[in-house]
Amino acid sequence: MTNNRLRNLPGYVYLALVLIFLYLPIALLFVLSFNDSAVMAFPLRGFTWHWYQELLGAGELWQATRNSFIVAFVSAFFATLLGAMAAFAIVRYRFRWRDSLLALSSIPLVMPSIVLGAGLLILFRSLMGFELSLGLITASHILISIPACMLIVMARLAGFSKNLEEAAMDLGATPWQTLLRVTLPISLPALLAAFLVAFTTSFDEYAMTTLITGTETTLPVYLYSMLRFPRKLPIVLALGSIIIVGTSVIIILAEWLRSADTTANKNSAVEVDR
Amino acid sequence: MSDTIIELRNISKQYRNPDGGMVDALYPADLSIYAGEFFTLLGPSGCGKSTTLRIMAGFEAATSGDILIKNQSMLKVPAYHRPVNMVFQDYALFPHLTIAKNVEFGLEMKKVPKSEREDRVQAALDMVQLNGLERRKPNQLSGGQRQRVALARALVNEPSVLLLDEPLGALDLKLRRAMQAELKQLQQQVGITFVYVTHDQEEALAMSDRIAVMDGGRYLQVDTPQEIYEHPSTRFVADFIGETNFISATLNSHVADLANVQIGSQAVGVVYRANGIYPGDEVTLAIRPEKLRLEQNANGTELPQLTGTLEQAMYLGTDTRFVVRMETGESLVVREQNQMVNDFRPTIGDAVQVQFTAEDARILTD
Ligand SMILES: Nc1ncnc2c1ncn2[C@@H]1O[C@H](COP(=O)(O)OP(=O)(O)OP(=O)(O)O)[C@@H](O)[C@H]1O
Ligand SMILES: [Mg+2]
Repeated sequence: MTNNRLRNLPGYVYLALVLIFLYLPIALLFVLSFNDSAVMAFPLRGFTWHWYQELLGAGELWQATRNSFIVAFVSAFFATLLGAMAAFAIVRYRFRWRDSLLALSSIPLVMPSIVLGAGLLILFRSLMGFELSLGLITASHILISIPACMLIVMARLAGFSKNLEEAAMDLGATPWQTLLRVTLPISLPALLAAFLVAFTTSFDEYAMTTLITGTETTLPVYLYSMLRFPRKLPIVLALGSIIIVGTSVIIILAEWLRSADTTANKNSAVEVDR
Repeated sequence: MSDTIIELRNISKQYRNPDGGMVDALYPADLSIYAGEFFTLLGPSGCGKSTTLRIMAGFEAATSGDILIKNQSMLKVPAYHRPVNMVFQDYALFPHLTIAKNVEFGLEMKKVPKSEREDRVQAALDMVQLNGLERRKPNQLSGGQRQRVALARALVNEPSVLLLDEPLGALDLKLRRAMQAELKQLQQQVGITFVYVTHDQEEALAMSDRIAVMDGGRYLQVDTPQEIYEHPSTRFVADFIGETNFISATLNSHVADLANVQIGSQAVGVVYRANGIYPGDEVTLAIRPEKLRLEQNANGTELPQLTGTLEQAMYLGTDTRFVVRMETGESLVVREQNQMVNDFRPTIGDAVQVQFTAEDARILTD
């Protein structure tokens, strides 16, 4: 037993190092957001809620955060919808340009977003004469998220047999009823996953967004512009801490729900084997 | 004869390949299935069994021809309005619904009142002996149990015809044999027409009222198991169902119902009732191993007999399987029951006579 532990020691050290490198920056963010100093450096000066109080009054920052959430939500919704529809077409039907479409739609995944941003800027401004707006940012985010959404939904659809839909129709379900009662419920986990990926993609996006930003913008772009005012930096740390806590809670909850579900299944599967 | 419940008229099916080419899955043919019978589509992989079934279910449109169910054309009737239900090979149970909800699905779609639904679901689950598992999800059941759920889910709708696409294919051999007996009994109990797909000839023989033997998109022979076993119409059918000896021969004469054929240096008489063969024709004699008998000497019998050398003897419990090499070089398989009073026990290398009755040999011309 102890022997075993010793032999695994390098493994444990490695794991510890990985975790430290992953979470140290985040921990620092937390710690410094409560530090009573505008200069982000050690030694720490003392505990304060000051930056969180200032955050309450930072109107533009809240505005950018709100924009980010709206853009992320709307773009994730449409990217999931369109991505799922494309996935259905590709998995369910054999048509002429199927393979080409699949290849073509994956290009935005690998194209540097700064290049895409430049292209979109030219398209929107010079060719179509649009005013730059949050709407255009949203549209662009939909564009870059569709491929990932499509691939996620495709993976799920490939796993579930077309027989299920045929079985539903065989039992008297019209195509609409089949969609609502069978196809959608079964693909729901994939749709949620696609939505989350699209949401975070949008929430994170900087390079492309900065190029097509008009008067209003999203959080990453706003934060970057704030780096010019070092005195305000701790406020950003406070906001970052809040966002991290929020997302952690959501992820832990989701994971807990998921594992509760699978253990339930496993237990009864064992029961059946007996 | 009973009423026809499904009628395929000149039905054919071509699939389009992704590369644009066409695949002939079914060649134009007629097929009638009678009410209340256990009808089996039997054939090797890719012969068009599933295609036939899917055309009946309405998942696939026929390229030509018409399909009638209860004397009504189904060409314009979508799958969800046809009076048939299907049991899929992989069962296709809805993974997100409980067993009870799975079975209830069809009734719900047909807007059967809630109270009646519950009774019928219970009755269906009783019938397949699954009561007590209503609240489980499909992934919490064993393969055999899922199979039963799939059956209950289809039967609860009281379809005119139940279509089953290799429903036992995913089960292990022992469970398979048990389920065969159970399915057959169930079919007789509910009196619903079963159209059953399998590539297992034993299964087909054991369960069916009639069998359609298929190959390469054609129905080669449609008949009772006994007829198909004893009077196979083609070499393929004879070979696919059970074990058969094929002997090359040349026709000497064909007078009335008796044909005389030449096998090597021996002339033997066999019964052949059809026409269309002429002296000099190359034909094939087909005969089942259990219809052959081994004798030591050419004892002045009038039975057709062939001379050869015993090459192999395999004791199989109830019977023994002999392989005899004939003078012509072809070998024959003979199966004899192991009776207590068996006077003749040849040893390997012995010269033997293989005898049979003229009625038991078949002349095949394909
Ligand atoms: N959707 C399709 N597109 C193209 N060809 C198909 C399609 N479905 C079936 N085929 C072809 O049609 C022929 C008959 O197929 P079918 O599925 O009816 O065979 P089967 O007898 O059920 O075989 P198995 O025992 O393997 O299930 C095969 O050659 C098959 O490759
Ligand atoms: Mg098949």
